[in-house]
Amino acid sequence: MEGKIIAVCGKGGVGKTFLTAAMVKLLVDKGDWKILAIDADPSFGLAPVLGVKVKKTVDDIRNDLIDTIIKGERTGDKSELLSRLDYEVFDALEENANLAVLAIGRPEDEGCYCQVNDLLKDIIESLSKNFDLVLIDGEAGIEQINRRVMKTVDDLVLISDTSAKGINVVSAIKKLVDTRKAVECRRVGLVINRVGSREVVDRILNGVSLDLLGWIPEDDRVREYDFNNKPITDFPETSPSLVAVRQILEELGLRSDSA
Amino acid sequence: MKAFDQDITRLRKYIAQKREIGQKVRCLNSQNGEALSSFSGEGKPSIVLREDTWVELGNPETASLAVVLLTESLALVNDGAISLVGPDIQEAKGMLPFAQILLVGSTTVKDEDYRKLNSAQYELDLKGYMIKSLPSRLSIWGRVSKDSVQDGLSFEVLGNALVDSLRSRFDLQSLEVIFVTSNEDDVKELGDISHKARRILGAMNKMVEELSFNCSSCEYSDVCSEVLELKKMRQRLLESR
Repeated sequence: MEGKIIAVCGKGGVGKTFLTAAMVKLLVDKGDWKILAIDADPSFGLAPVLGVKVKKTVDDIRNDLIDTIIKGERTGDKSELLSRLDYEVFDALEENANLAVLAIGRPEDEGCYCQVNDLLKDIIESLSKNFDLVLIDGEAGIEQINRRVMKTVDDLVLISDTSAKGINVVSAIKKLVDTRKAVECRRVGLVINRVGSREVVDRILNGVSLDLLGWIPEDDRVREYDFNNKPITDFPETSPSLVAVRQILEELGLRSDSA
Repeated sequence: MKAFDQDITRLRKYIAQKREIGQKVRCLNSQNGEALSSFSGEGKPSIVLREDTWVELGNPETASLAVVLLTESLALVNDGAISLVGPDIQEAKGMLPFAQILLVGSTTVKDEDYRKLNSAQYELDLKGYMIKSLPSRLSIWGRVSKDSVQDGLSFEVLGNALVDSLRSRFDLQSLEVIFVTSNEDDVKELGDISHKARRILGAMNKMVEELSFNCSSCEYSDVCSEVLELKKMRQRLLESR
């Protein structure tokens, strides 16, 4: 298949990591596609939920390089720098069968090293082209995706729980996208999480101008896995939440069953 | 350049020693351009993911070295020879320590071009062969895909590709390729032989990038004092300022 990039964004705590991890699990289990999961949330939620241990993040690579610059040590010319970053990013990739995971790490806290950020972004974009599917677990805002990961995605999935705050955040992100102040995308869709009943979904949709990709019902098992820090890899596919995520994937044009 | 002549002699002794202790040292066919044509790349660097990998060469967890030893003494280089110490690609699945040494004889390549010559060895475009490199550390990390091994990718193909690639870019009178995959210690042992190359490259990079000529505070003053070519290069750069 032609490569597809999906980013998941929304307010903190609304279920971005669960949705991304569930999509990854269903698509990895299908086995047909090479998948790159990018953990762009500074709290590193995605990798452990996928059962992956991260040894190095993109931010570690960046900080190592900046330390070198600050110490006055040589970094080489641009091509040397590019080789070094390319080598390090590939080394940071955690690979397991048809899944590879890349953790971005915490955002920079001081100094402006635009050239390093740009080179790293170029390398991530170039790496992404080698996968059938790239799924990005974004952080609470949206700025970091185009600043630190990539500037264009195919589908931007905005997720919210049923709270007004969550819905306000996705509406705000949608406005940023419409005014080209955030990541560029071909399609934006809404997923509502932890839904008690379909009526709640209808009520929310009356107040927002977003296309609904799907909704995920309340599922105690999600809370249980979260509480016990269990990876999603053995999450039962018949659970209501995974059934809903499968439908969301179909809305995104991705069949996750083997039919 | 004559700075590496002693290192080339030491390398010959190293190979002879490996033979003596029973290491498999093979001479590969250097006229195999036909095999090479089926691996010509698509003009963009190949990525090989672990799932598709047959063997990794010089993975960061094992020993790795990639170095060019340049000389004006053409007789020191066995033109066209491609040698392999250790298992070939199709004989070893998983991970191999890896050294790639290019002996280059040329009376026309300028000392300043030594850096370009070194970088050129990482710029192969072969289908199913991925290269990542840390040029200043003389470190190479290769992955060979399962498909390309089935299609016949071997060190013979790799050696021929390196010869073709370097000859097409530089005026070289003789060129020899040596691969070592036998074990980590054998690759690490080559660290001594490549030490000067690492220092010379570091000094050249510093001269070109920083244009700093304060020798009393320079970390490369030892190698610059020893290697005549570096002194001359520094002088030329000073004059061109």
